[in-house]
Amino acid sequence: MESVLRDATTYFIVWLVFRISGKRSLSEISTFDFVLLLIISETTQAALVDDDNSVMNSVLLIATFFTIELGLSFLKEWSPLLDRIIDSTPLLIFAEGKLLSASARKERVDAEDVLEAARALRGLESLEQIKYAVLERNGEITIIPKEGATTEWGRLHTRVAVTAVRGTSLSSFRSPRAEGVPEVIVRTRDSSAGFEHHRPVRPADPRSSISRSADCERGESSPLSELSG
Amino acid sequence: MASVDGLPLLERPVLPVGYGGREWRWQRVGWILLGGLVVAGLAGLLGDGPLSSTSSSSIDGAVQASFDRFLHRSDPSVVTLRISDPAKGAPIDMHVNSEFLYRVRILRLTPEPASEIADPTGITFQFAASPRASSVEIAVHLEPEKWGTLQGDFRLSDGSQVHVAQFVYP
Repeated sequence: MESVLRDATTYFIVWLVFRISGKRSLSEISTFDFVLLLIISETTQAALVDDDNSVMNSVLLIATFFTIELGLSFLKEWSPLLDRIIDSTPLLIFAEGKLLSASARKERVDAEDVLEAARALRGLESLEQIKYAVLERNGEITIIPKEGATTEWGRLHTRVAVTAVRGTSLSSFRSPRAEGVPEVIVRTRDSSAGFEHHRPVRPADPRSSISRSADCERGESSPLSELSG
Repeated sequence: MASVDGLPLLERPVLPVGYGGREWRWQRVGWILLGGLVVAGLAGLLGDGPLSSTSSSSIDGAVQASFDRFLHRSDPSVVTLRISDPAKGAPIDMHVNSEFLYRVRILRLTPEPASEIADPTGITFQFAASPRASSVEIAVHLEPEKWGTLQGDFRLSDGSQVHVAQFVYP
């Protein structure tokens, strides 16, 4: 019993520390962060194992960790509020050529970070080519380029991905909500305006391609069509 | 060949589709087993906990032992012996069987024994007792060295004997 309780307590404390340290803490690991992680892991190990180096204790610790993980994943699926508390939400940090300084400063992100992600992910050269930059829940920055801004390199990667999805029979996808109908959730958040929007987008015909979603048929742009550049 | 945006549609799926079915069933069985392990751990079936704590007493009720049913190898544990109405002023002799001693390492005894006498069947520990004490409690701090069942017999000089049965997980 003590092993399970010790494990759960340690898990909660480590989660809390990383959660309050912000999204960017784990996305890029500097030398200092690496040393910090090593120290944390050593300290955590001492707290978890104590004097008990038995196999059964290890089995219990591992089982407890995975059970907590599974339990949290069910809880997050069941409650969007818990999902937000546990994993935070994606945050818009750059829109239409401007760094949203309030959000970016709080998350310790600057224009250089956005540009670095734009170069790495999309092969973009300047901030003017970026439509949106989003700080994802795992601390990564993702980039949505402006129309026609994507380089040949970026376009090739996007097309390969889109073609791979289109070439697959959609009935092969299994969704827990609706068999054969994939659901794309578009979630945008502007923290300065306190606005959050969840938009499920479903293809009218399950066998049609994802990019031809209901929004596209109404003449609106779809998130995937934006990606295809 | 059919094409989208000038790019040919792939005839065969390129994503690893078909994942699921039997694998998902196995995953769920695994989840139940993991949950079961944690519940058993919390209950004390895999170590210390409410279902692990137990006690036994001698036939005449003079000695009572409190201990954990389930132990982990190399993880310290305690067997507590409560001796009621010891002979006033006389030392207490407690004999522990050798089978038990072969499988554990005695870390310490509280109170400290005045003497230890070894014989082929085990070791007799002698404790000094206060003449005013109505009961004496002896704590045996031990560390299991071998996994498997652990059978201990704690016998007093007047013949009262308490049996301790434990299981040591690897």
